[in-house]
Amino acid sequence: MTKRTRVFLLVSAGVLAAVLATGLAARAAGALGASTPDELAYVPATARMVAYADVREVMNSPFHDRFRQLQNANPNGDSIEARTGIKFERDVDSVLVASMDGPQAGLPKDSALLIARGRFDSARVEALMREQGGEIEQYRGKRIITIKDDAALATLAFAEPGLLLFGARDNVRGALDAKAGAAQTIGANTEFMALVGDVDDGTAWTVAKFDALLSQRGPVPDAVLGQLPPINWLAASGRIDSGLHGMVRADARDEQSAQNLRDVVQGFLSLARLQGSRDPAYRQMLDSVTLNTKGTSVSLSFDVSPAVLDSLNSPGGTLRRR
Amino acid sequence: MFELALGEMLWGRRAVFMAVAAAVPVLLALGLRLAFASGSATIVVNGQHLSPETMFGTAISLLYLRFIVPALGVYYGTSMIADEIEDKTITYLFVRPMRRGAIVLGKYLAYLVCVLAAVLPSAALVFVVMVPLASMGPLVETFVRHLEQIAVGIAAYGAVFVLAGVTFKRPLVGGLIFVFGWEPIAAALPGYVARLTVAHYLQGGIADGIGLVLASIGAVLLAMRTIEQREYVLEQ
Repeated sequence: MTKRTRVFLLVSAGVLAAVLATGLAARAAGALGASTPDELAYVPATARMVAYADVREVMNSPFHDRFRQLQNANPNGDSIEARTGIKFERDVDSVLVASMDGPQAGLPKDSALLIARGRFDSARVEALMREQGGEIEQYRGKRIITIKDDAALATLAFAEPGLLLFGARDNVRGALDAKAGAAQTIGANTEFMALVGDVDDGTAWTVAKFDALLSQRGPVPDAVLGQLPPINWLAASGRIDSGLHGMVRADARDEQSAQNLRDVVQGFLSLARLQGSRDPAYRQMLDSVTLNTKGTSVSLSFDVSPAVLDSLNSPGGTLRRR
Repeated sequence: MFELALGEMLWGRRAVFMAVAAAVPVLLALGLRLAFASGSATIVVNGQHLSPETMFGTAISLLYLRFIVPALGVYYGTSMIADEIEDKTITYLFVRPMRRGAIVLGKYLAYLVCVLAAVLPSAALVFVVMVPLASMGPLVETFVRHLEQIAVGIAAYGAVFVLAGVTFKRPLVGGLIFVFGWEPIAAALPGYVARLTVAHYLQGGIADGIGLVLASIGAVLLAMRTIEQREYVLEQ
């Protein structure tokens, strides 16, 4: 065998081995959580809550109409469309929302950062924002456009082709800092990333510091929240196919708190079953609920079949009556 | 015989076709990746944007399994013995102190090593270029399965056409008709007709793959037996 034949065969085997090794290394990294969305590289370590949704998968699911109703009720989504001309349904493939630690100076309510991946006509969006008085500046090599809107400064930046950042000016700058390595990203928070690794197989998921949720006024009354055992983290994920499969997990401070939390949730479930015993659809949904406790975490999983949702949404159904 | 044939296949005039066949997918993948990265290109099928990962699967299926592997099988497989007859050099091989069957076996093994060494790294490079690092992990198994398919395909097509090469006088035309005429038509026909193609078994499960390897061994053994018994008359 000539020398050049040997060299050719060695190079060929080397290329193959190198690619296989790279793939196996990527797979091993994936097992450690590297399969999480790339957008997390833009989320600073100060984030208290991160939520992700595969918009395209949701849009293509049989639950599309219900999602549209939900989106219409979301003033933030409308706000983005009004300011930028970007239509969620048409332009966005996935969206990640991060809520930052504490209010920004001068921005008491708008502390969220939205990272959307999709197809955006950057020239058109930029022109629309300029029409509304938007100012363009350069930051870390990216063009960012800022609009003064009431008390807030809404800023948009095209961080990569097909990836935009939208939110308060400081948050968008913070995201670009994080990506550039000038600030720590949420990836450094191993506790947070472990939870993300547990839920990121869902069509939509969220991980939050529980106190971050408490600081936002939600549908749960303060009196109820005050009775809850101490919780550190809350994670939820939902998978949408022909039905909806959801999981909510709370990590309590210690095992005793987890047990107390389980009892509280069990009590609520019993109450709900009592209330909904006459409604077959409601009862069917409650029957699918499973409550588990493992160490300090309490998880509640449920399945909602399309038939159950249709029944709940039908005239005379539970949702209609409400 | 193996070393002589390997040198001829790697550095002879026929190597140009193999080099082009191995390089074109890599260049195409590079172009597509650059277009995707710059945002200047998107491919939409039924309203769904094709990801680079999907494009990789399509490249393997359409480019390698449907075109490159069968084409290289026909090109090298039919020429192994037919070229020696056409060039009237087979006499020199037959007078060497070795069995005639060893000529076929040596040339077939040289073909396997030569084509595998060119095509598998090419497919590997396409994988690296088209699939982002973050998406590679979950796709490694699929990638390895594709490499297996390509390797089995190279072995099977080579064996079929080396048998054709020792049996028929003008095997290249028949081989091209089989690969690019019969196989696509049979795959589209209903019923069991598709089972009369190599492609059908290539896209099957592990049992089909093992069956194809065994059939390839059988075809090579049959080719060795045929060349032992057949009398070749060189045209003047």
